[in-house]
Amino acid sequence: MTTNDERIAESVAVALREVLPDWEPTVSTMPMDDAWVSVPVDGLIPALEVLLGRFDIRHLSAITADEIDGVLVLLYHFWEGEGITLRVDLQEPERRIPTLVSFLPGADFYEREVFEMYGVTFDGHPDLRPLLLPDDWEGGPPMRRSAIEETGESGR
Amino acid sequence: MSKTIVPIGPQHPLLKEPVAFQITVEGEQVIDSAMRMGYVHRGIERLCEERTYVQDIHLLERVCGICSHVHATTYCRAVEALIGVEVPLRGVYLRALLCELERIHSHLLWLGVLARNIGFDTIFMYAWRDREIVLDIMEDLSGGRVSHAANVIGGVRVDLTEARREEILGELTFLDGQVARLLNVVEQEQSLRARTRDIGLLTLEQVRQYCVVGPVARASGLDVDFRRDSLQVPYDRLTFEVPVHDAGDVWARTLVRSQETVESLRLCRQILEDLPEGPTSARVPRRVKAGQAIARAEAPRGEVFYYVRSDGSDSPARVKVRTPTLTSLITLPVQLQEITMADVSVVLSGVDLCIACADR
Amino acid sequence: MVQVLESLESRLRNWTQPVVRWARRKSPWILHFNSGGCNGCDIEILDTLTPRYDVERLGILKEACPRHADVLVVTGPVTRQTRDRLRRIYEQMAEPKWVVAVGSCSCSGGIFAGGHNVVGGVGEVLPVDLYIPGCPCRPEAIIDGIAKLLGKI
Repeated sequence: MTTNDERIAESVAVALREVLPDWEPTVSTMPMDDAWVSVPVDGLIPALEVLLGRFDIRHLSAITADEIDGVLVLLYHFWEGEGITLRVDLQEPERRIPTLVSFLPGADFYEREVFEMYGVTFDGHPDLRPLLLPDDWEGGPPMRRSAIEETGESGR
Repeated sequence: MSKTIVPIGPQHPLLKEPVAFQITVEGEQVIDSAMRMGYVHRGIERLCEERTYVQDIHLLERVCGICSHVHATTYCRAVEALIGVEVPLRGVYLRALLCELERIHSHLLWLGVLARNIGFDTIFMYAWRDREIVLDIMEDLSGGRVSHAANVIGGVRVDLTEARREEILGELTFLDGQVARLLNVVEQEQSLRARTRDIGLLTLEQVRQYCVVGPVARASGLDVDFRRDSLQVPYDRLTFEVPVHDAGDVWARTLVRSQETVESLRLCRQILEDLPEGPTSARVPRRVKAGQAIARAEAPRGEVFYYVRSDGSDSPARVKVRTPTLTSLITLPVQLQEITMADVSVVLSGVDLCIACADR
Repeated sequence: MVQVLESLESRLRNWTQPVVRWARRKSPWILHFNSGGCNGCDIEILDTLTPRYDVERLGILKEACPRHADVLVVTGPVTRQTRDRLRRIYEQMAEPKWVVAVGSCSCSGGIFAGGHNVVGGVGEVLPVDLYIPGCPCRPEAIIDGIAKLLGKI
């Protein structure tokens, strides 16, 4: 376990300043050994290359989509002895982001789930179709706040 | 030869849960496969946002009936991190005790199902008979055989008297003997080895690319175990081995899970012998502070991941659950290549499917 | 002549009816289907087949194919994807057939009622003969329920 000063996130942020000179990454710690580093949409792939190439961090635990203060945020959770998350704020109304599948085939199902639940398009994904929802699903992405407010409790 | 598509599921004697596979065969040789999941999708993440933190403990326990305790524990740890409360050591030890008992019951269950699916009913009956002892201990501790409701935010609501602790140690000794006999049969029995050797192969590189976790990853040579690697309390003060094999086939997974069962028995014994005195839960404030927290744990099938975000209200603003079975399912097209139709049941049993976990 | 044959046929049926009913009561073959549950009730149902509870002594066998089974045992809430499959399985079973809903989820949707993909309990899709509540249902409760069902046959 590392202290706050030595978190991997800090080192990743330093490396990101080199590959993304126009971007100032924010680092924020989360309880229990995790920290997120902010990355722009077009900086996701360079950031991933930094994680894979320079730090040999290859384990992607999950991709979470969340609506924080009205902004649709994607969180890519990695783990190597401690947690390091890449946080990407998506642009509305496009909601597009490049896919990670060509680098990490393990991201496939996570991206498909975010696609169907939040309506995010992953550019370059080989097979972007719903994972869990039925084929005859009517109505929009069920996890979006707008969908929940429109359709009431659980949209039934 | 012409190609045929053999559908397996959603209702099939092989499957305990609904999931659909389409296996394309040419003669007896499997050449392609497709999978459709979502039959058990209950929309739990959305339901979590509509219920309170305490109601969610009971909801998340029912993501899966086999690994119910570890789901509730991981969620509680994330919420406790948001609140900033520390669970008393006795509560942490009791949580770990139930986690390890759950690992034993899950692996024995899996062994029985694997055996049944390859026609070895005797092992199914013996494994499930021995599993009843574990369920009895869990029922005595918490009141429930399968779903325990042992967790509260801040600790556990269950406790052990000194007399009961001694009795459970005795029951564990008996179970040690039963499990040793069972695993001796598993390791010596030629037919089991012949059916599972070289089937469902995954290399170390594939396991890393697909971000696979749990016994499936350890059976392909990836030495990861969240309990040890994260120095999680109380595992940082207990002695246990993490079995790793590198054959990458279903036989290696059988060996990994068998040895994990023995290690979990060791852990249960250590937890009971070193059980600290004190309260089992801490007082918590009524409101959860706004913020985000991540908790991970080593469930019987691998790393389970929870992300909880609070906006200061009664209900969580977001709960994200990523279960370990999802990482195994993504490797099935790779595992189902170049095998015969008869081996499909071995591959599907070898990954220890828990579709309820994967679909949520 | 026709009348003699008809009366003979109806007398034969009266004599054999009790035998047929006795045979059905002594060997109810079950088909288990999980229509979207967490697995808790499923493993308790499988538990009834194992040495501690051993329902085979009551003549209960777990069958693989709907056409061989008398009793459809359903666990879990019905989701949108399993609704049609459940109906299809029920239609494939030969008469006489019974449906048993095991666990609170198959009785009413249980803790998942209201989920965006959940239709409800089994009663929304099929005519249910027996409800066995519990979360999960204990094997003793399952055996007791099936025994009560056998009393109705």
